[in-house]
Amino acid sequence: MTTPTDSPEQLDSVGIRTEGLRKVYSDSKRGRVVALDGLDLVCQRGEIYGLLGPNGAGKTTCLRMLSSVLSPTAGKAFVDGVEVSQDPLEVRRRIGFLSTSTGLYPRLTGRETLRYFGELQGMQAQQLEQRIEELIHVFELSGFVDGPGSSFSTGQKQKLSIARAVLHEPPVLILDEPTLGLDILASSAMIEFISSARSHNTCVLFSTHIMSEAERLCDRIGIIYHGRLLTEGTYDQLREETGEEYLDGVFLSAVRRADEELEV
Amino acid sequence: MPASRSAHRSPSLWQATLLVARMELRSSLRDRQTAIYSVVLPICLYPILFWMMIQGALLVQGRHEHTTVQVAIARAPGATVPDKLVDAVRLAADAPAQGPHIERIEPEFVGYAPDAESAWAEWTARDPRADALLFFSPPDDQGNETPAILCYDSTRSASVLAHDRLAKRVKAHARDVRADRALEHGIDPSDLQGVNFSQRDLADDREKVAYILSMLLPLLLVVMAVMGAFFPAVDTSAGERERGTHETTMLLPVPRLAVHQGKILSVCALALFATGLNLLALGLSAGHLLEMIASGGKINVELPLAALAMVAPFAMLFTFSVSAIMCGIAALAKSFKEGQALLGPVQLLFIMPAMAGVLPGIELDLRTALIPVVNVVLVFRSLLRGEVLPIEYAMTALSLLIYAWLSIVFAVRVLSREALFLSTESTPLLGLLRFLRSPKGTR
Amino acid sequence: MSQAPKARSVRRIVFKNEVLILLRDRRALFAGLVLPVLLYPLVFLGQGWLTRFAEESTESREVLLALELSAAPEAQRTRILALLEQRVPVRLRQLEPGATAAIWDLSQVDTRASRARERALVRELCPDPEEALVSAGPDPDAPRGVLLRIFFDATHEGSREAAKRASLALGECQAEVHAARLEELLGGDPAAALVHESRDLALAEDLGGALLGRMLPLFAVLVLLSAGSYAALSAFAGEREAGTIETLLVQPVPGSDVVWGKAGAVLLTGLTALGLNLASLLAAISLGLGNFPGSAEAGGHVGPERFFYGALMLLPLCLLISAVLCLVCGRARSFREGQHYLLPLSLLTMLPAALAMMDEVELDPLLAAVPIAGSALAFRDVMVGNLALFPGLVAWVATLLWSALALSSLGTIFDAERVLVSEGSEEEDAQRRVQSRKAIAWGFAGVLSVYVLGGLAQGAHAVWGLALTLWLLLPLLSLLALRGTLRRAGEGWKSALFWHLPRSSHLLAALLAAPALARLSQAWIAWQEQVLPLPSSLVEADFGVLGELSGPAAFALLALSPGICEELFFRGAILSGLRRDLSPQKCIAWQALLFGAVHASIYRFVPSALLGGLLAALTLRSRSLLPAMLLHTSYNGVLILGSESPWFAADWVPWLLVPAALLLFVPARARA
Repeated sequence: MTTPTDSPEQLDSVGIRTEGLRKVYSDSKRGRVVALDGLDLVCQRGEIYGLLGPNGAGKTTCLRMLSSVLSPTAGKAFVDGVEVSQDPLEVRRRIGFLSTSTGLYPRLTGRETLRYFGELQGMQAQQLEQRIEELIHVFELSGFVDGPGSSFSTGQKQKLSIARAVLHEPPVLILDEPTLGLDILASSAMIEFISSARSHNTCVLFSTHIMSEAERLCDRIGIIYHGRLLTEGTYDQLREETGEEYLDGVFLSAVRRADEELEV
Repeated sequence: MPASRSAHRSPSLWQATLLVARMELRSSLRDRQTAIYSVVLPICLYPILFWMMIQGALLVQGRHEHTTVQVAIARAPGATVPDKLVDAVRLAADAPAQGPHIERIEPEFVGYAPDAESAWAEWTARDPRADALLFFSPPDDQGNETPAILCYDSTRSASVLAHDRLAKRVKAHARDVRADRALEHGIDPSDLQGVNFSQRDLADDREKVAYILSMLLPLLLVVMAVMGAFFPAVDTSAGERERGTHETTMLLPVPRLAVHQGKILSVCALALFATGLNLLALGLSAGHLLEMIASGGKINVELPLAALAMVAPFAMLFTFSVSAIMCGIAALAKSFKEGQALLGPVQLLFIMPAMAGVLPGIELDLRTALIPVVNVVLVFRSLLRGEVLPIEYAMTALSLLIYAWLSIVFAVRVLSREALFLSTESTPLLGLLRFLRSPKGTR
Repeated sequence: MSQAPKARSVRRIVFKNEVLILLRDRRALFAGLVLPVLLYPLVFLGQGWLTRFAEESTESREVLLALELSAAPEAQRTRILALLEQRVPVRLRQLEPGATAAIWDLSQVDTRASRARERALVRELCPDPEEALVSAGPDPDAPRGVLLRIFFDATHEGSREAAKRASLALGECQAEVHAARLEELLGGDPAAALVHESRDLALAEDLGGALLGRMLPLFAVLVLLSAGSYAALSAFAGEREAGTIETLLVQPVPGSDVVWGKAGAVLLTGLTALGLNLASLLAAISLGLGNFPGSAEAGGHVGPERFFYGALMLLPLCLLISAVLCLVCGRARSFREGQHYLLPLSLLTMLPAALAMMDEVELDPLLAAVPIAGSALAFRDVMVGNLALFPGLVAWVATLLWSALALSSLGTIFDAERVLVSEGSEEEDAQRRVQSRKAIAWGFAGVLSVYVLGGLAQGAHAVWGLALTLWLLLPLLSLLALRGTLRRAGEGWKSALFWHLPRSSHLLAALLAAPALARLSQAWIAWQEQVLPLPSSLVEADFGVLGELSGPAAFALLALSPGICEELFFRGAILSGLRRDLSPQKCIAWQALLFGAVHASIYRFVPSALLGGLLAALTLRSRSLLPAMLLHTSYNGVLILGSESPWFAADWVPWLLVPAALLLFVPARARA
């Protein structure tokens, strides 16, 4: 189990680190919402970290803060050694981000979408075209990449979105429920892609509530509930800790324990 | 339709229609944007607009009254400027208390010039504030005086103003000159006139208000009904598909026909509501405006309530068919945005004939009673003017009923097309024709 | 790893992408390119046809005239008949001699009843309401003359047209008889030279320019609004609807650059649409379609340099409208929401642009600074060839400044917090905003209801209407506004309403300040008269019935009642909501705006606003409503009752402000 550390030699290998990350916002309907309540998290390069949690636990808020879209109320977050609120642009350059609500421009072709975001990343034209070809090959986009975005199926959209996220070869990947709404074929392709990222020394942080995916993929798993990290560790560690055999059980027992604590 | 076999008593078609309409209405009114658009906006907008108009008019009037203009008098060689004219022009101010309105008069400022045009050209070239010029020519060969020429530039408002002020004063001066001469001859100046005439308008205030209303209201009613139906129509059909709730609605255990009718009914209710509110707010602010403007001769604003009550059923029928047609067309669109793009031209289809209908030459008769939109406008107009044309009214009511029924049939037919469900593409406008050709069951 | 793109290239990339997306939209292209080319010629043709139809149908209408000319001398009667018969198609009906005698008897008096009687008599003679009546009788002003009266009903087209033709014929007859009399009695017209003819010497280019200059600003605004709003909605609301906004936000480029790129696309769309529409419109005009006087010349005669400078004038306007559209559409969460914002926006934009159609409105430096109005008027003046340099420059620069203001706030559109977390950021912050937002909303609700309901009540009865507005409407509104504030803040009504006993020094300060402020406001009004002169109708209308009230009644209604009720609402209920989260300066500014607005007159805006601000400051300072009530009452009281008295004009009156200010500030410092 790794502990957060500031020593420079270890910093290189740390993909994502948060210290007491906190986010409070208010909503006209729900009033004051503590979305994230002091989260400490470390994710190494070459590691796949799964963030598990029920709906509304704060997963999306956490990932959005890491991607510098939202700014934290308190605490710090480092992505690839860069503090998020200090230099958000640099952070954005180092991450590939895929959100649940990712959409595509309905009137642009897949290729044009990729080119647009590549240009915004500041990629050189030649290098960009080369990379797009490469991604079309890797993700098998050739069948539809030149059609308009409005004609894509859900799986095609997700494939294209992933290709868009890794276009600039980011050292850190932040994926918010990447398999949501995908059929078995598409989601297994997605899982295959995520596990292949490990070999590229990429840090992958992804959220999901599909236990089997987390079991199969993750080097480490964190369970988040009511904005707090209940427990984390490798799958085996978690099983040992709770004495449950499957991740579902681990998850449920962690949540129940937290609920009991809250009531007390 | 076959009777339902379920244990529960299923509601009749009309009950179901009303149920759906109530549900739709509630959800529309709960939506903050719709509420703001159809309630708050008309109430706030009209007073603000009218306030701006009144203040603007006052500002312009104030500045206008205080504008000083510059006029000159010039003459051709051999011509004379009548005695005392310069003094008369200078002294006879429109309203002495307001100070001088003719800032500077330069008699013979230009001096001699061969003709009016060259005098004007010379003066305007020399002075950018040259507003109007009175030019005198020499008598003609028989020794008769030739009329003076008042030069101005109609493209400049100060020049028009100077023209009007100068013309008025010269005319008054001419009257004085004649009166003086008559007195010299020992003649009563009033004998010079001989014939006088005046006009007397016999219409009383109520008739005038009714007449003004009959000019404005028909078009306004049509425009407001169409605009009021616009957003609800897009919202209940295209908007529902965008939100993805249309399948749920379609699966309600009531006849499809009831669902569609309920939707049309709710759109109609919203449109009527918005029309009513708009008219109310407009009436309140316009009454205010009339009070402000008619400070001298006050117009007694008395609304022809009986006529307005007669207008209501026609307005309702018309709103119903507008709502139905708009719902039907909006149903072709996949999203709110598309629905809007589709309905934009449709709006014009209603408003254009309405504009033609308020033209003075067109009257309500048995032929015009059959033309959609135009007939409504004409009926509104003639009702407000207090005309009694029972056969034409009945004819219009009948044709309105038929149009409303036809548009509902059309809307229901479009709404119940399966293709609408399945297609991911938006339906092209030409597809409309296809829908009409092959009707499908409405269940 | 890639290099960060420069700001300019980011804007270029976004711009290119937006244009590409817009070009892919076939419907928009059709509406933007094909429609204008077809539409204007068609609309103009239709309009020309319709007006011609309306004119012809009125002209060819047979009018009915009933005549009773027995009082006129034989020669004149024949002449009038001949002249009337020329106004074809006409049907004349001679009435019995003396048939209209009863009507003439009535003409001595003019009352409601006599009018109704007159009406009934005329209707009896002419049962058809489309028929007009011409009747001759003695002229009360000229013993030897004849007066011809035309009776008609303006609410009937036929009758109106009959009266029009009759008066044309009678006018001709009048001129003939007049000339004959002059010849006969005076041996010719002594004022022949004064019978002037008007000659419009406007240049053809100016006439054409005036036509275009009046029409084009509103037209340009309309086109810019429709095309620009489409582009803006597609670029901003469309991005949110497609769900691409979050992806865009995590790109390593500043949000403001993205917004700038999009704004550029909006501007380009607007300009393109405007260019195409203008070209089509001008072509239609110069082909002579439509029914404008001199329309055929307009296109041809206006020189290219006027078009050039006109375009130069319109350019900042395009920028401004595009920026405002981006601001509005950028706030919208969906296409639908954006659409809802557009109607009020277009109305507020079109109204100032329509000023150019009114010839009486002239461009001056003050008006030139008003957004849209300034540009529209300057454009018109350029087209007429009549633009004064200074106001024109002001209009140009001011519009640019307004656009810069709008553009500078564009950057906040893609504020991620607001975009992604539906609304609100920090909790306390939002809580604060709720109170002041509600207070401001209530303030405007009060202003509107005083304007509409109060205006209606005062229209019905000046005194009671005013009393009702002050003592019923305002307290009711105060209660409603205060209820929400109290519920949210959990506070007693006394402290919320500043209902405490003030220090006596503060009361004294209020009493001292009142005459001084009244004097200053009079001085301001006098100065304002130079810039914004009051129209005579307002000067004459003055107070009407209210001016006739006796001293004590006037004081009670016009000084005491506003002093209590207006303070209760503005300085009580509204200020108590505002001060919870706004700085005192902002509270005072809002109070000034609301109090200026409630007086509903441009002429009284500045003094009312200043007074409102001062009253708010006084209330905040003394933590009590009473000094404000006292100041307001005595201020109004001095203006109503004391403005005539000699001491009011004394030189020392304005200096009373100094001790008043000292009384307010010195004790506090001593305590601190």
